[in-house]
Amino acid sequence: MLFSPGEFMLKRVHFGPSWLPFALVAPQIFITLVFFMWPAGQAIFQSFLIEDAFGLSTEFVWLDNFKDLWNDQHYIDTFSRTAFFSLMVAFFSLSIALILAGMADRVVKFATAYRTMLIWPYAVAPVLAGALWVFMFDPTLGIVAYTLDMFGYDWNHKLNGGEAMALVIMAATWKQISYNFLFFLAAMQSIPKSLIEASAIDGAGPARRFWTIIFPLITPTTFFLLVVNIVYAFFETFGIIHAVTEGGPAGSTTILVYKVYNDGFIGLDLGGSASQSVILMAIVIFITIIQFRYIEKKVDY
Amino acid sequence: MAGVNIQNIKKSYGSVEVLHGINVDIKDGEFIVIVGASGCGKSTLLRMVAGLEQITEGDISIGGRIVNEVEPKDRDIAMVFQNYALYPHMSVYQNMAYGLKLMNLSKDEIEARVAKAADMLQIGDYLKRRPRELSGGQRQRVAMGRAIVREPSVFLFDEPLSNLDAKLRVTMRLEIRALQRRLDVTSLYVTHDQVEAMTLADRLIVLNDGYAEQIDTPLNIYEKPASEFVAGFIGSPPMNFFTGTISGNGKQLELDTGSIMQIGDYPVENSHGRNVRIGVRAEKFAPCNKDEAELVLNVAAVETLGSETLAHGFADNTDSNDFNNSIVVKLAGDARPVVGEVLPVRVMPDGLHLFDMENGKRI
Amino acid sequence: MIENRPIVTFISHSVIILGIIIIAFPVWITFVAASHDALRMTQSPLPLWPGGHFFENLSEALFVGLDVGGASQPVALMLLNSFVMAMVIALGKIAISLLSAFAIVYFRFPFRMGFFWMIFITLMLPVEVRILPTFKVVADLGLLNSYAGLTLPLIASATATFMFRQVFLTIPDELLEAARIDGAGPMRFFFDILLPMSRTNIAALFVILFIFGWNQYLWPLLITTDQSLTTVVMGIKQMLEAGEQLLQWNKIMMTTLIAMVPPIIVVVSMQKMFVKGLTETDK
Repeated sequence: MLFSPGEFMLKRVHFGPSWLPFALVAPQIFITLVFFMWPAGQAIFQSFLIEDAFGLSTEFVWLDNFKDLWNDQHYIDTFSRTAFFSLMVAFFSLSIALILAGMADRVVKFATAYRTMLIWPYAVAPVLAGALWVFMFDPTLGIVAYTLDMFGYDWNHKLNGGEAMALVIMAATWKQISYNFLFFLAAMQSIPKSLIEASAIDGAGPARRFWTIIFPLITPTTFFLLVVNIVYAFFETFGIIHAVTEGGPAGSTTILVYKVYNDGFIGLDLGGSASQSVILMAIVIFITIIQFRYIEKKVDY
Repeated sequence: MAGVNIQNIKKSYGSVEVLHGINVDIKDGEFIVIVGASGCGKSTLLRMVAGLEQITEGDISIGGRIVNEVEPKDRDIAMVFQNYALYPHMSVYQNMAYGLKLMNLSKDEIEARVAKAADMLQIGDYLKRRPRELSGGQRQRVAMGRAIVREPSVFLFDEPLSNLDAKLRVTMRLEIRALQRRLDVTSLYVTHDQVEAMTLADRLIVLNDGYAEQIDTPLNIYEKPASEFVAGFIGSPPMNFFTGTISGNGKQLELDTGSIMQIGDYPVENSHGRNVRIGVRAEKFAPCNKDEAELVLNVAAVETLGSETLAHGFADNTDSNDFNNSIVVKLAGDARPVVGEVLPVRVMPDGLHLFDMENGKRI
Repeated sequence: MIENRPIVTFISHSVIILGIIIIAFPVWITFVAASHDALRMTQSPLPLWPGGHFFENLSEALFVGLDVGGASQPVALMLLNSFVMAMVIALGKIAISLLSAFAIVYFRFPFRMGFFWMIFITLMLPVEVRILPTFKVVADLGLLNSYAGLTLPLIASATATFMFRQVFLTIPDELLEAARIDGAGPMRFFFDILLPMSRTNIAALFVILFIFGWNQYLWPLLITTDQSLTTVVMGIKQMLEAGEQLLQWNKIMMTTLIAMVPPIIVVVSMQKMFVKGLTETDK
């Protein structure tokens, strides 16, 4: 997906001029215009409006919706909660995947079988991942909650916000490990064997080799995954949260995407939801730019 | 069967002109090789004949018909590409038959043509294989087969042998020449390899920087290069060049290094005092006694090739580390010069080439 | 392996196996739950070992479904909906991406770069971000509760377009030239040469996109109120909500299992394609 401006020169040879290319891009452009550009434009437009509760009148309020958000302690809390959630998910899923990939890279025997047994959670829908975990931790019946109870810990994520957050982090991490594992393993396997052998001859043991040779060499992958994981936690965990906590208790697991949905579809605050959408779009664009900047650098490296 | 006429062909990319007006009339059945260094425009010229590049100015006609605006498929040509450009997902048979299918030939006709070409090229056993299951030489044959089945009036070859190893290149070179004789189809062949150019061509076009420096038979080009560029480009080892002045009323050359060479009967009139470039091929130096020597070399390196021996050396007052400026002399295979030895040589009577200092043209 | 240290190797294997067990544990619990009767699933502690009602639960979930405060939806119907949605999204994305990548790589035409950037922008904006306005557009177009509304907004894809663009760029120019000399026009070149040459990439992408389509949740949740369009992934949520009162964890977990299995089968059976698709589309 990476490209440099020079690449835009594309092919040396082309078909001659005709209407055909327009027909070829038409479906993609049509869908992009109707379902992407138009709604995105509307979101931006909406974000400048305030609508009364009955939808009878709208008023153009410029940046008031954004100011309201800025002054809304709930929104600020949601923001920091989202950041916390994302970092936690990224940290745990990256660390666990890194350990597993490091081990899998070492063992020759069963390597493929291990990979098969580690990658399938990728295929599980977030909402299903949520269902699995909420079932295990169900305060009255869940097997893990029951076990915790035996040790004298009373688990109830329906009442305890911290526990609810821990549960969604676990579910989100669980689902993301396989993705990270695959990329880490691929990156490690692409390191030339001669490098590892050279360091072994230099007298480095397995752990030292990992930290001084393998880990630095897979830094680009790690950074790439960090970005992907944060994007995942920001936007793709809606299903998990919807299934596990519905943002509760008392909003303690409401992240930005969930709030957009909640304010827009449950609270029917169109202007507020739209301005949140606009902020999210800005975040996505920001993250994408960082990623591309970095990838460009990586090409030299 | 058809000749190809190239009339004042120019090509520009934006404001950069890469071909500056090429004229050549190719007779029916003639084998023309376009030779030149990379980037000289030789492939561009070929691709314009094929119809793969737009013509900026001038006309190309094939069999008397101007084809400037004719689609490649309708030009009655076939092309063999440097990387063969075989369709990787098709079998050898399908590769050869694809173009014929698009011509709407009958199935029988296609089968007959492919069988005939496969037989000619001895690839009948591989017809069911995919290109990736073939060796380089076999792929090369398939690419030729794909061209042959079209039964075109003109074959176009774009460096077809440059991806093969040296030995195979020689074999395929001979085969291409034999095949072309047999089919008697007009051929344009692009290469940067001057040995290929010399051995294949009825006539050569030596291209330099978008100009046709010389268009002639290989032997004429070797013996009477029209410019310093052609002289340096054709022939191996490359021609030795010196700078000097015509003196002695057009009878002598005074080299910048101080040596004197006899001009003999080389036609230079009223040229006394003119600065010239002097070219001598390695085999046109003859070892001689010190007192009749025109040039005295200090041998710096010896290449023993078996059939011949090349002695590289420097005249007395030249930089004896820079082999770009060394003088090379071809000796008999059994000659054994020694590094450090002094080698007196003189130029054989017909061994001299003189070129204008400014424009490099032959005098 | 560079050195032979049995202990290190043993530890490596152990860590991986432990990881596999932990990762598989939730699914094991689900499988166990799906194999007991409803009564057993109300008694704490819940079982850790499968019971004997697996196939009974399976057929009941598939063909009768679970009463979720209204009509009972057989899971088989939901599976069909999921399948249709996943297929339409995957094949649709591949088709329109192939065509637009072909146009962008092999033609020079006005606004080429404009189109390119327009497609690029879609990459940046996941549907979750612009969910409300997109919903409004679909509602205005009268596409609520239809397969078109379900799939069309998810079909435009920058990722797939970029991947095919990348693939096409690696195909040597000479093939196009050879095809032109052979007399192939643009569409013939596309179908005869480009498409067959991209088939492994198409397959790889299909795996990824099928899973993407199958796992769609928020979007179908919003735009389908018609029970007959419920996908199996959405169905779970409705059951979870009802599950508290109904206490039919065995069937809920059976449905969860059913919903997970098709994409998992696709990933595991097409593992090579899956890895290729994942690493090549995202990087």
